Amino acid sequence: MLLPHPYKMVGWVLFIPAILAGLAFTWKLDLPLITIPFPAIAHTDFFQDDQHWTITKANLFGVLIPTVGILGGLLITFSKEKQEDEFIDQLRLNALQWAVLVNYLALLLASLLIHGMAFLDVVIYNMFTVLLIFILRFHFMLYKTRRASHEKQYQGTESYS
Amino acid sequence: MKNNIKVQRAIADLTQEGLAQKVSVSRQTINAIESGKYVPSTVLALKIARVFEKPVEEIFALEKGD
Repeated sequence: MLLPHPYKMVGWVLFIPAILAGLAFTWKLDLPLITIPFPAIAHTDFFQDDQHWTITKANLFGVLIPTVGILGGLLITFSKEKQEDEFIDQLRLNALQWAVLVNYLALLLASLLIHGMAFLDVVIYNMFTVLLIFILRFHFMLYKTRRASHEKQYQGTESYS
Repeated sequence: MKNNIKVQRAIADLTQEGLAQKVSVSRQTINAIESGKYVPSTVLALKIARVFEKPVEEIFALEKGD
C-alpha cells in the first residue's frame, strides 16, 4: 500500500508550505481573500444563504491549503523509504498506531478543556496532526535504530579483537 | 526469543552488513534482531539459517516469556 520512494520528497514540498500557510491563517495573519468558482456539496457562510450542490464562490486558500497539506502529508506517510524491509514495515505500522492513539488522546483532552470558537482551531489542527505525529514518530524511530546499529556495530567488532 | 546470530557470524566470518546483503534486508534489521529488538518473520529466519547452513532451531530459540 506504499508509493515509490521519490513521492516522499514531493510530499515534503507540498506539506511544509501548506502547514506554514495554515499556521499563518490560524494565527490570524490575513491571507488575501481570493475567490474562485468551485463545485460545492455545501457552502455556509456569514451574511449569506446556505448553498448546496452548486457551483459557489469558494475561498481559494480555504480550498488550497487543506488539500495541498493533506496530499503532501499522505505522500510522505505512504511512500517507501529508500530501503524497505520487514523491520521498517513494522516500525511504520507501530508509528501509525502510536500516532492515532496520541492524536485522539490529545483530542480528548481538548474536548474537555477547550471550548467555544477556540475549539475550531483544535479541529483545524486535527486535520493534520495524525499525519504529522506519525511523521515525527516514524522518523524518530528510524533515527534511533540507525544510531543503535552504529554503536552496536563497533561494540561487536571490539569483542573479536 | 533469543538468537546466536552474532556467534554464527563470527564462525562464518560475516559482518552485519554482509549478512544483511545475503538475506536482502538492511543492516539495521540484522542489528535489531541481534539485540533482541525485533523478531524476524519465519521467511527471514529461514533465510538466515540457510546462510549459516544450520537448522533454524540452532540459531533461534524460544524464551520463557514467549
